[in-house]
Amino acid sequence: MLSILGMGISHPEGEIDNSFIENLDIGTTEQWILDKIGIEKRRTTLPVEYIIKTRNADPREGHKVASQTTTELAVTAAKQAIERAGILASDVGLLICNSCTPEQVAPSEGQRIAAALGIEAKAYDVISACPAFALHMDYLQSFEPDDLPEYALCVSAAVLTQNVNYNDRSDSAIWGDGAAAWVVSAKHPGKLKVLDTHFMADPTRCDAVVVDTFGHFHQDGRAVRDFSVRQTVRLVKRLEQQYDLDWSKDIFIGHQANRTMLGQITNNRNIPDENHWYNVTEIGNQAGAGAPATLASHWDEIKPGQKIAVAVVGAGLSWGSVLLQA
Amino acid sequence: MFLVSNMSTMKPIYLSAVGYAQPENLLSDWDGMPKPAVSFPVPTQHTALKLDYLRETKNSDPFQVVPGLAETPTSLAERASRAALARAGISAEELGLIFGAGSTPLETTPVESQRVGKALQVKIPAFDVNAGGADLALHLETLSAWKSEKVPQYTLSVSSHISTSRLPFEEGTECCFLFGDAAGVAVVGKERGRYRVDAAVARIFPSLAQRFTIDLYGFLRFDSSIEEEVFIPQLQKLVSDCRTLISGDAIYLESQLTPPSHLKLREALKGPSWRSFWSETGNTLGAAPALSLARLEEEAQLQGKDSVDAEQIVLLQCGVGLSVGVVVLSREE
Repeated sequence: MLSILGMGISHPEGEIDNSFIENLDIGTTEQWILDKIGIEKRRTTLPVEYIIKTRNADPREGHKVASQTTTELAVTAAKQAIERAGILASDVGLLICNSCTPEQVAPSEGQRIAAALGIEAKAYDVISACPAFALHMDYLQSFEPDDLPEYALCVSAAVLTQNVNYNDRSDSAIWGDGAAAWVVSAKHPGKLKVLDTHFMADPTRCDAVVVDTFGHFHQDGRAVRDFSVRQTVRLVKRLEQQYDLDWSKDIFIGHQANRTMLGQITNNRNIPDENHWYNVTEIGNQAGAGAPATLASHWDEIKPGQKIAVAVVGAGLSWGSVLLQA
Repeated sequence: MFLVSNMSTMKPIYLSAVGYAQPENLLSDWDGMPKPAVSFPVPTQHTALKLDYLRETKNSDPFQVVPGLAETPTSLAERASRAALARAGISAEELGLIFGAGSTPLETTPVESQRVGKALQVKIPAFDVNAGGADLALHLETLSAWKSEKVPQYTLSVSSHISTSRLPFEEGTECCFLFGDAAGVAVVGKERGRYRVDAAVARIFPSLAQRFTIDLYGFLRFDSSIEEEVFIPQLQKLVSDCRTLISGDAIYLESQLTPPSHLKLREALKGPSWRSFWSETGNTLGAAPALSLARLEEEAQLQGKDSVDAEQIVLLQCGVGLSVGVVVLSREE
């Protein structure tokens, strides 16, 4: 059985609140954003003066002026995960990374992170953008335990504000930057046991969410929203049916796309607010980093015996879930 | 998966078929191609770029390249996938999983495997497992290390690269004459196939990764000294580790090293029968092993043979990452 031994997060200090977006004069208001997606602010690696001046019309410029790179955020998160796991970077025998905003297209982001951490082990990217937490856990769960190293490090990082067109009122309000990392072992017990993993995709709908390498992010917002709510509810129902989930004490974490959508899911499954963990209201949508970053930020609050259901959806279109128990 | 000693216990998987696709355009048909900056014959370089675009821009800004493309990584990957599926005698609906890889994506999201899945109209798990140069070895190594119940009957392993879209032709440096565009695809069978995979090992050296790079918005940069300093000794070591699994009459296929380095590798490994398609394709990065095997099979067919002239084939790979890989195949049918 896999265990998660430690988790880490990293977010840039730069912040964009709703009044900032309203002041961009792109046809939206603080109230509209709050009502529609429930996000209050988001973290960014972009200088706010740069956004005001350029609206990030040319993402190359955003890439140049950013305060931190994907790799730098990822390395900070990874160091915290490694420290919390009580191991050394040199103990890591495998590093897998998910990022839709790589620093270079070659080598892979995982290889850059490994180099920065001094990890001279197998490192590569395993990518499906938003559902990274489920993908990575299902990917590792698929291995015969003996074929995994003592410790694997998973990383998901994204700086999507660098790919946002700040003349687009919808995209401007959604995205935040962040990284999450977690140490997994099949050989050493950790704080969280992995009870169940699941990952699935429908590539026929993959054009619904696109990050152009040479351009901006764009998506079919309505289609993705409907898919996200419906699919997350299905994922949670499956876990409820197979495991003895008790929402009076167990925890739900969804894809950190928007708070309103998460509210629809928790209402549907009768999950009380106190057992619903999220960070999208303060950080924005961090793509594949959102759900694990939320879990990592509650790392010290996890209670013995508590189950944590993580259900994530997004680009690909792909979706998946992980059920953990402390 | 992580120790070569595990290879003796690796679970059986099979290579059912391979396929490849290359763009029609050739860099040699562009009258503005710089004069060779290498001391050996320049390979035939297939390019995804339109020749008109090259004439007008010399590809001076890769950020502007999209309108200048006659092919994309995905269009190549789709053609290669359909070729591999046809050779395997199966339909796309029989696939259960797609592993993708690519180092020149036009979109970072969705990933290559998902774009191929859309082209094939399949609703199955699809995600990228991206090592750089040793994609096929990593994909096969991964599947052989997975629990049997997690391995579908058929998996598509895709690696597609249009590195000429990232070459600095205005600078005319050495790397302008080394690379070609292609997709290489393998259909991996769980229970049967044309070849049994006797060994699949990928090794990655992250601390050396910055010696072979493609910037997000910029050019491919290749420090050719890594061939001698890293790829040759590491491939030599991998083959040495696999030696007990390799018969004396195996054919070694390697199509990513430049001719001088390829010769040095042959000398270092001594003896065995070799084949390289580098002069006909250039370095096609992770597409090279599937492409080379498919071309070897095509040659055999042209000679009226049902299969290649060897019971075993050893695929050698090296590239971005830095990564190296070896795949040992035994003919089954």
